[in-house]
Amino acid sequence: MVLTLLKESIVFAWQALVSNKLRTFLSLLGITIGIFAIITVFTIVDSLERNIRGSVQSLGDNVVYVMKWPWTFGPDYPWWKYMNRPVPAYKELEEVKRKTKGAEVVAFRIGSRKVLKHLNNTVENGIVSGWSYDYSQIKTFDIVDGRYFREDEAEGGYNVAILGNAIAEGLFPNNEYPIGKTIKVAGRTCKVIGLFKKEGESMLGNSMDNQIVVPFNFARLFMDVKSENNDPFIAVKAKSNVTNLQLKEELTGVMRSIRGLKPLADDDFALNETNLLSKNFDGMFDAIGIAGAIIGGFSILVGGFGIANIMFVSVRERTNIIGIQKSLGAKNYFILAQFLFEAVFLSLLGGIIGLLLIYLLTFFADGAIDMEITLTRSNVILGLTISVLIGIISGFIPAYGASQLDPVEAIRTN
Amino acid sequence: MAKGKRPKIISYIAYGRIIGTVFSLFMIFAPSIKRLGDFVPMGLGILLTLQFISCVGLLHMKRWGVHLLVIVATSKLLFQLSLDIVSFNQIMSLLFSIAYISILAFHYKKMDTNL
Repeated sequence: MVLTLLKESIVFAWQALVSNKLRTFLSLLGITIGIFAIITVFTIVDSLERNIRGSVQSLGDNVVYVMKWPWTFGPDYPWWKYMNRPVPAYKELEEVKRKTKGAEVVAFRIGSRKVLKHLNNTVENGIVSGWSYDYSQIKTFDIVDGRYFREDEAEGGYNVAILGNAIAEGLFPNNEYPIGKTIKVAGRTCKVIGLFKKEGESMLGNSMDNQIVVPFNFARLFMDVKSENNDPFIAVKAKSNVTNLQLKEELTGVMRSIRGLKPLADDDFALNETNLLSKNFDGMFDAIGIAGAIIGGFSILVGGFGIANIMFVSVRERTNIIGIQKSLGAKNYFILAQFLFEAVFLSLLGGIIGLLLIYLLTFFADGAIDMEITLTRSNVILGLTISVLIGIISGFIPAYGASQLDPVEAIRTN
Repeated sequence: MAKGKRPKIISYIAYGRIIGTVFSLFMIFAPSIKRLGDFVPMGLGILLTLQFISCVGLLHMKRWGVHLLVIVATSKLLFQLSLDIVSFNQIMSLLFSIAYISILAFHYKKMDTNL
């Protein structure tokens, strides 16, 4: 019985919307714009966040980086304290390996931008990374063709290289096969032995696409290991039963003893973790999210007022029909449901159109920019939820008012 | 419409909560709420919508408005406890809810029993 009445009220609501197409369209436009604004902001923020978290994760979750500069930012960053610190040296690597009991892998990395050449093809500012052999156990990457360099090649400083996708495309256009070919890295001949899988743009700028990896002992021939410009660091991966905190405590002692620091002297090195980067970005994304929520929230609120307005008009127009329905035995909740469904339909339709527009936008954005932008399930749920709730909130007062009308008074209304 | 004339205090409570509910809707979009789960904003939104409906009931001096307000206040508390998001603001909100419900209980007999 109740279901039949509900079904009838849905049919009434649908007929009312179909009979006033232009009014329906204009009313739902407000919600469409509101949902479009707010979910677009969330989609972009979520995609950026996912990209950055992916980049951070590729650096390793349980890895501590021994560096000159700490990964903390903000207006109170005491850069003058860190300026005169020495950069981590390769000779410290062996000592860290020997003294740190909680370390599973210890590796060294150096990198800078160099000119890369193959015949007439040149890549300016290609990032050349010199890795010690074990760095492959710290950094996450995939090789689609060829191989990683062997330990003897790393120790012997062999002139072998693994190319990132963008570098390979720059040096070997027209789908030329790069493996086994010779290229020039900063004027030195180098044999290509591998090709990294395409990763796409990274917000942190650490995508393997723009990198070429060579053994550290080869890179040191054309890069100054002591120069800050070449960003040298030691990466230490913790054993599975050792926490990052424990590893940091042990590393602090090890590094202080290596550098011969007096008990009261400040550390002259920074121990960085990937979660420090994540924390810095969390604040930024929260701020963007809140700003987006406020702007989009007001748009939706305005859309809600539009629907409430149109519902009041709708009730006014159909007052005598309400009177007839009530005099023929229609219950209050039937009238309430009829107008409430109308408001929810309007709002939901607006929300669905807004979400479809966002889907189209992400579809085109995928082709235009080198970053994956996706409309996530949580944002679709949020968009639909908001649409329905705004429909109920904006439609409830006029619908309840209609349900409370006196049938005699209502029939008399013109 | 109503069994008795609406006391001013009920009007203040209802209008205050309606305005509060509309602006609380922004909370649904808060990154901290979104992070708690896909369906958490939906749950919070449903509670806020029910709170709004209960206020409409109060404006019409309906008993179901009071009943709904009590259900919403209890559900909100349980919801916040289950998600471990109880803070000073939430405790204040709960205290206000208890105060409102006490006032409404005082005027309960004057209210209409019909839908």
